[in-house]
Amino acid sequence: MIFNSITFILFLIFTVILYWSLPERARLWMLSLSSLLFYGFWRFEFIPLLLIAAGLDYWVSNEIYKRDDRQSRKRFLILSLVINLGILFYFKYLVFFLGNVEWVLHILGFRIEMPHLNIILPLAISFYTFETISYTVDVYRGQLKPERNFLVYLTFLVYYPHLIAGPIMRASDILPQLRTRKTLLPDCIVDGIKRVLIGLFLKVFLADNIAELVNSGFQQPASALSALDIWTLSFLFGFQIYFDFAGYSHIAIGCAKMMGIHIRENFDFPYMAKSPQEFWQRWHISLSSWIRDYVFLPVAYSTSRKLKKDKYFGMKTDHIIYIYATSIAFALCGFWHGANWNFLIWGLYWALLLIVHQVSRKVKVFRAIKSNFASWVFWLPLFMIGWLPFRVQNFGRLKQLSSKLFKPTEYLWLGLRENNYLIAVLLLGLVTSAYFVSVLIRRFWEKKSGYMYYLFESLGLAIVIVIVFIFLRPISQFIYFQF
Amino acid sequence: MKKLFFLLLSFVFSIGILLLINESSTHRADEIGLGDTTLSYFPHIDGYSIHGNNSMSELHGLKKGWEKRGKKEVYLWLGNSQLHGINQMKPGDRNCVEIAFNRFAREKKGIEVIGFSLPNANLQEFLVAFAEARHEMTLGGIVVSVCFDDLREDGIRDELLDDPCDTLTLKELSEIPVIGARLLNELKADESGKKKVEKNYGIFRFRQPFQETSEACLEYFLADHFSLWKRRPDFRAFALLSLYNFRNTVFQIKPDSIRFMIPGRYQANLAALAAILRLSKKYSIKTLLYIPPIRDDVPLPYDTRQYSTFKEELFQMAGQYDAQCVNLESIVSPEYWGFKEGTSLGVAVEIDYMHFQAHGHKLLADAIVNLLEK
Repeated sequence: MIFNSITFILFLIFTVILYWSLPERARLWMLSLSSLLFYGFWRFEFIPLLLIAAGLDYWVSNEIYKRDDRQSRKRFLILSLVINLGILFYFKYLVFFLGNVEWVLHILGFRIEMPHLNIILPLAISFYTFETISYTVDVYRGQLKPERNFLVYLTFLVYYPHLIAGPIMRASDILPQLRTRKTLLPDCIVDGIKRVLIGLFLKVFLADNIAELVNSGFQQPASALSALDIWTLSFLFGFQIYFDFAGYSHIAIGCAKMMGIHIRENFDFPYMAKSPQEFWQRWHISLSSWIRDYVFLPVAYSTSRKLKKDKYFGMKTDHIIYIYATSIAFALCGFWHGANWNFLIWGLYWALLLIVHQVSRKVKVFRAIKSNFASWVFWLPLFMIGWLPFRVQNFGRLKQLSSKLFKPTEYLWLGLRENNYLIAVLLLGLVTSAYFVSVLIRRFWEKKSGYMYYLFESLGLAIVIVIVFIFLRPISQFIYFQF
Repeated sequence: MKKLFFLLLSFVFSIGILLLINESSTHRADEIGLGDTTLSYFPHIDGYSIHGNNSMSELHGLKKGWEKRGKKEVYLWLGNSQLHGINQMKPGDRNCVEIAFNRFAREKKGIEVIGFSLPNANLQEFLVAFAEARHEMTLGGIVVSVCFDDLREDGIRDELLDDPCDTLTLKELSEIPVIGARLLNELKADESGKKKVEKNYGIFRFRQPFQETSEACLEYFLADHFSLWKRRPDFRAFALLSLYNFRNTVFQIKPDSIRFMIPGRYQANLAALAAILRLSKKYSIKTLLYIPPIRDDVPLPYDTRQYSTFKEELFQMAGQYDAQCVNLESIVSPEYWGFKEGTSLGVAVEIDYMHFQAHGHKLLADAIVNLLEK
């Protein structure tokens, strides 16, 4: 079921009312069943897969907890990882893998045709696989006790607000909330409704309308686009994906809030970041923290145990570990998004930015750039152009477009409608002013002005409601649904 | 409780705003671009349409009347809103398509003129309409309005996807170099006529039959019971038009502001025109291209060099494919043009470069019919 639809609005109202009307025990049943119904609106035949993933890690984590012997615990962990990643590999990466094997064999002179499989990617598989893995690893590490009640665990995994496209929740955050009794607080309902409305506004008004410009622009042949057009389209897509995904996250957080469940924020004005590191502390926070905790840190730790010297090949060991762990982490992050070499390029591009930023901190010239504004102006275009491989999922075309960025003559003409440039500039202004309003002005004004603040907020929200009412149509999926 | 009170207040304010918009927006979504002073006119003969508008189902609908009238040879007239928009329309006014139809009905028994127009139509859309119409009716000729302004447009609008094309049309389009594959992609089909699963972010990527059914039912129910819900497409058009007017005000964009050609779109549209001409030559369909009338008592909103180059290229292309080409820029004199609602905030009326009064339609129809009869 998609969020930007009348069906979902009715479903949400119904489940929230039912949730608060039912006794405590029945609530989890209601949440699980309604979440499975929510998922089944896409394809019911994939519900068993979801239940298998839940059942497997429920069982494995309890087995891990029962055992004291480290080797035995490790075997169960490996079993869970192999099965979960195996399922993910089969549905998401097998076709890509076979395609590449065929290509390599052809280059080596072997005329072997790999079987052409028509595998449907189950919705949300990347998200719930990461959640089950983090749960099992946390139990293995002793950071979390396994959940004894299968219903509670199942609800955590399939809970519909976050099921399809995150935020990737940590069991330690959610399981206690599902176990405890909740009282209906009107403020939670109100805040939840506001978040849902803001999320829908970002999606149906901003993201969907920008999408038309982006799709139209990227449909042009490479010869019809100048370097400035490519920059503009990158900025526009950067805004589109931000509003789309942040909108989804707002809706997810708002829905959960209406049921008294707190989900962590997933975005924090990422385009106001002044460094690549800061960007990843603000963008898709649940994924970046997952990658940090379950890939980057373990890889860095295990590498540091193997490298005993202070320097290798003239480079400090710390730097080598950072470069290695960052590359692995972001390669994985790229591939998580999709089975396509362009996503790997996107991930490695980010690894490069992070490494360059880390190294440049020590360089005198860069240390001189103390101004936050100068840092922002320097890094923001680099963040935005990074969306190019993400959007253009064909390597040949990516090569054509990116090569234009390095040709001075490609900066001397324009190939898009004037609206594209105007809207890109307007959106940049909108995002930066929203940041200042939200972070700086609002805090000050809310304390000082009381009722006036709420009145203006009401007027603003009224406009949001009108826009959502007018523009609500299920004309496009959320971008992250495809991952 | 304070928060709840102010949330409820927001909903009250929003209903007030919607009622205000409901009062202010009197146009239908498809007419909003024309403004108050220009109205759409789509003629019917004996209850059957002879001028389709803005959707594939309307194009297909033209066939019914054609069959009833005895399946005569058709001259298909393709154009933008100039074909169906009558400025300062009065009762009894007719548009150029109906005038041409009636003239042929009087003078040439075996031929009839049928129109198909879309607001801001581009040549890629004309190509699809032409290819499809050829499989629907017996085409003896086509008349194509080649408006320089509309060469800034690109792609196939969603309204042309409301009915699937004939598989023969799709096969034909797939064989067109440069833009054929792109057109098929936009029509969301492959050459066998099957609907394609979109590779990108569209809703077809995840087929959701339950969602589609429930959404259709709810949409129908809400539109049936709540007039505000039914008018959402009109409100959307009003909102986008308001944003458009706001943009024009901020950036001082006026009707006489110079519109520059967009190279990629220009080339794609010329490639589509070349495909139209190739197909018509292949199937011996008489082709008449014309540069449409434009108001010439005020400076043109085009870059003069680009406009001259366009006219030269058009005549050259027509000659290459043995098509007739004529410049009808000046056939409608200034007194038969009109004004339209301002497209900037605080501007009541503006010059309308595109839409003329009923007499202008007569002048255009007579010019076209005279050329066709030659």
